[in-house]
Amino acid sequence: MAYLLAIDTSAGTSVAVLKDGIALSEIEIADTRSHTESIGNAIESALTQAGVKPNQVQSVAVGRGPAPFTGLRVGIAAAIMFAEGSGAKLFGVVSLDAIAKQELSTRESADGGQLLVTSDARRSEHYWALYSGLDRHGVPVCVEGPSVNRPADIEAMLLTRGITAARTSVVISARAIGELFEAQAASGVLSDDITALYLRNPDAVEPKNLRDFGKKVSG
Amino acid sequence: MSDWIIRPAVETDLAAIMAIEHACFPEDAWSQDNMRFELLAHHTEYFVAVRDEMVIGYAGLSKVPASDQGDVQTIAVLPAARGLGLGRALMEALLSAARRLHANEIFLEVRADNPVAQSLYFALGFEHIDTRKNYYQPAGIDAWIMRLVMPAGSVGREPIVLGIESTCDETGVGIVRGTTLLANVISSSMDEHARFGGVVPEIAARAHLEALKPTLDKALAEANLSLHEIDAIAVANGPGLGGAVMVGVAAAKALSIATGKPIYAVNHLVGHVGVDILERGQVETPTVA
Ligand SMILES: [Zn+2]
Repeated sequence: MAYLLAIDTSAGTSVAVLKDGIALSEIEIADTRSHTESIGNAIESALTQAGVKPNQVQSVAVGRGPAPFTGLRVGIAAAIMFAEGSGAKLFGVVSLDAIAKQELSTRESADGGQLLVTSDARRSEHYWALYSGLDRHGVPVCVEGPSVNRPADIEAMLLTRGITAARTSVVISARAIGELFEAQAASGVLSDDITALYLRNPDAVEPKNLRDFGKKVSG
Repeated sequence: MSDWIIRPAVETDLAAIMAIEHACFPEDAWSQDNMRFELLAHHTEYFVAVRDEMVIGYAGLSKVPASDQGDVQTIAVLPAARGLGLGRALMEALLSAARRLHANEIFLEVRADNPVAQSLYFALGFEHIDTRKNYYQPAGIDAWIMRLVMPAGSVGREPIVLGIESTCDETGVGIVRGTTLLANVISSSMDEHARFGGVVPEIAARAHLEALKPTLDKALAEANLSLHEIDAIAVANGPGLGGAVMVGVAAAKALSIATGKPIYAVNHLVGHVGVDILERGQVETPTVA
């Protein structure tokens, strides 16, 4: 029984249990500031509603973002440790790719045009990635990104390169992560890279003179 | 039919327990006062089986600290709830409590005309060592006296607790058995902060995420334990840097669900005081952590 636990906290807290690409349960908590409070109950409820015990979970797929920092790490930390505790194998999925798959698989033909997927990156910037369509296994083909820029600069870039792209900013869900995982498994392109996609360096400024700085925080 | 759970009995379970007591022992049920005394006595450990918030079975062990022998005082399961393995689960709860209390011999009495219970006790390792004639009155049924000698090495096993700490710039995983430290692995991101002259929360939180698995694996290896031998998980849930604490708490919650082990939150500052007490036996008061 190939049960998959899918987790994504790049937006709200989303957990789903799937079997052969079909969602048996979905827990969606939209709040983008309660990931840590919600992640435990979300995983537990998803498993109970699907009637699946932790040791029956064969794989865990977690969204890697991109997303603004703190919330993203909650899902990844939970995925790492759930896999460690249950013995399940751990895989990473780019959240923007999962959104692209949802959007592209609902269109009859990608009408040749490309798809621009964006999500809020705060500080008036967007995370974005450009897709040319789905491959024969249903895996979205990313031609550019993921990256983070101001919306105006993204538009300017598309314009100068004469790219016409449909747009979507559908919110990510764990079910979408699970469905992309299924397609990736079918085409043998699963990835065990679960590093978080921050796409920004931590905003920390090196002070000019370090002489009078010691380690400020006691252990 | 939802699962049942076994948990320690509390005084508010008394009425439910008495209802079962009368159903199972119509001729020789204990009085409510006796049962209350048993539940609350210091030298006894009572457990109840609960399903859909209803008590459907109970069992009790008596073990005085001075002796290394324990006695199964009583065990009863509602007739409607039999055949589900409740009897065995309750007995296992008693035996694990007995081990924790350093009892290496456990005694019980069972009616000579109750082969079902006898086969459970044989399966748990009890032996029939004696028979008391006409022990159960008024029916005049004999009683078998049975004894279990605990396997060596299983006695007095104190709880093994895995602790996770990520409130600042050090990811720590520690494992203790009772108050014996088995492993204490620290992975620090201190040098990544040096050039900034202080701990940068975002750098610390990113480092915690990367350090989680390696630190846990190293601690388990150092303690020569697998995750399934851990009895409980404790995690520092602050005070500390928000982003950093979140990583440890999310990790601990998922580990607890995956392994089915209970999880406890610990205040980081209480941890400091705890360390002093462990190392020096006590801490002068007032003390500031
Ligand atoms: Zn401290």
